[in-house]
Amino acid sequence: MKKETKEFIILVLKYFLIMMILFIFAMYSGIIETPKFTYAEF
Amino acid sequence: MKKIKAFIVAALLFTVFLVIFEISLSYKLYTDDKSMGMWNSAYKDRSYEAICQNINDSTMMICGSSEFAHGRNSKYHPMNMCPKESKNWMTIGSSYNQTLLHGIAVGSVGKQMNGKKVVMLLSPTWFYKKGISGEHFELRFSETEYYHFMENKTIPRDIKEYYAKRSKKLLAKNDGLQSKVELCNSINLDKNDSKIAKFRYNFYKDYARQKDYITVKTAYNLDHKLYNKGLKKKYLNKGEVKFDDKKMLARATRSSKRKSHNDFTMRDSNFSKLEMNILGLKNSHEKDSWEVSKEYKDLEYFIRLCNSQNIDLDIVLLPVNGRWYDYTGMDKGKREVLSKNLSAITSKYNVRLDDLSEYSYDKYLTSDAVHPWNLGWVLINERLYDFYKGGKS
Repeated sequence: MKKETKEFIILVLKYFLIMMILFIFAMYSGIIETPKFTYAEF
Repeated sequence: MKKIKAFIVAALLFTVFLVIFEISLSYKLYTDDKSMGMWNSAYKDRSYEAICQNINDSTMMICGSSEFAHGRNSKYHPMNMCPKESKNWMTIGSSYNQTLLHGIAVGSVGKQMNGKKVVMLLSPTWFYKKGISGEHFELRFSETEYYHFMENKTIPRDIKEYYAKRSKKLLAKNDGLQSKVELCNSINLDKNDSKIAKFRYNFYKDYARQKDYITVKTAYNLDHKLYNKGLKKKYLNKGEVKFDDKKMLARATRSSKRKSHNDFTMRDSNFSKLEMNILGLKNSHEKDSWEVSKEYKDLEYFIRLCNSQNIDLDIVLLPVNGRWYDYTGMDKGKREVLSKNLSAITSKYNVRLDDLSEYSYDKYLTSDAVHPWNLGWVLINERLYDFYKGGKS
C-alpha cells in the first residue's frame, strides 16, 4: 500500500473516531436524548 | 484538501454506520411466553409498541401504580395466584402513575382494546386536591403513547382536547417535552398542514419509537436474563384458584403474622421506617382531604374514553391501612368521602365499582400504609378474576 493511501486511511479513521466520541458525548450529556437506566429500577 | 476529503469520507462512513444501526432494529417486542404482560417495568408502561404488540384476543389490561411491585415473591401476587389467567393480563403502572397517564396509554391502544376489559386499581392517595403533580406526570409521560393517542381517530375531540390541555400544563417545566406535545396537538387537533411541522413530527415520532424499543429491549433482557425477575415456579399456584379456601387464607395470615409485631399490623420491615418518626407522623394528614381533587375529572374522562373505545371497565378502589390513617389524622369519616364520590361517578356512567375500602381495618391487609400484602392481594385477585371470567360492569 502506498504511503499516501495509508496516511489517508488513518486520517479517515481518526475523523470517524472523533465523530463517534462526539456522538457518545452528546448521548451521555443529554444533547441527544437516550434512555436512562437507574440501578433502583432493576 | 486531503483533510477535507478524509473528513467527507469519515462523515459518509459514520452516516452508513447510523443507517445500518437503524435498519438492524427489528422493533419486535412481542414475547412468545406472554411474559411481557405481568412484567413490572416503567419502561414497558411507557412503550406503545411493548403494550400494543402484546395484546391478544383474551387480554385484560390492569391499570394501577406501585402495588404491582409488591409481593411478587409471594404466592398471592396475581401473577402467581392466577397463573393461567394472568398470562393474558397486562399490568400498566408503577409508582407515580395516575389516571391521566393511564388514559393516554389505554387511548393509544384503543383499537386493539376494542371490546376487551380494563381494570383500574385506584389508590386513594391519588385523590389529594391537586391530583397528579407536574413532576410525576413528566416522569411517567410516554411520547409514543401520546402520539398514538392523538392519532386515534375514534377518540372524541373533546376528550383529546382535555388530555392535550392537561398534558401541556403538567409539562410546563419541561420545555422539550412540552414543545413536542404542542407540535403533536397542532398536527392532530389543529390540522397543521405545514410540511416542516409534519417532517419534525414524524422525526420525533420515529426517534421516540427507536428510543422506546432500545430501552424496553435492554430492560427486559436485564430483568429476565440477568436479574431473573420473571415467574418463579416455587410461588406459582398449581391448583384451582379458590379465594375462600380456608387453608390458603390461614396460611396467608400466618405468613404475615410472623413478620408483623406492631399495632398497625404492617410488615415490621416497613413499619420500622415509619417508627423512626412515629411522633412526627401523628396527625400529619389532619389537614388533607379527598373531597375535592382534579383526579375526579381525570377519572371521568378516563371512563368516557373507555366508553368511546367500547372497553368494559371495572374500577377497584384499593384499601388503605385504616389504623395507620386514623393515627395520621385521616379518620374513617374523612376517608369515606372518596367512596361516596366514586360511587356517584361510576353510577353516572354505569361502570362497575369494587370498593375495597370497607376492608381497611382487616388485619395484615397492607404491608405498609397503602400497599397490599398477602391478604390484600387475595381480595384484589378475587375481583380481577371475577371480572375477567365474565362479571360485566
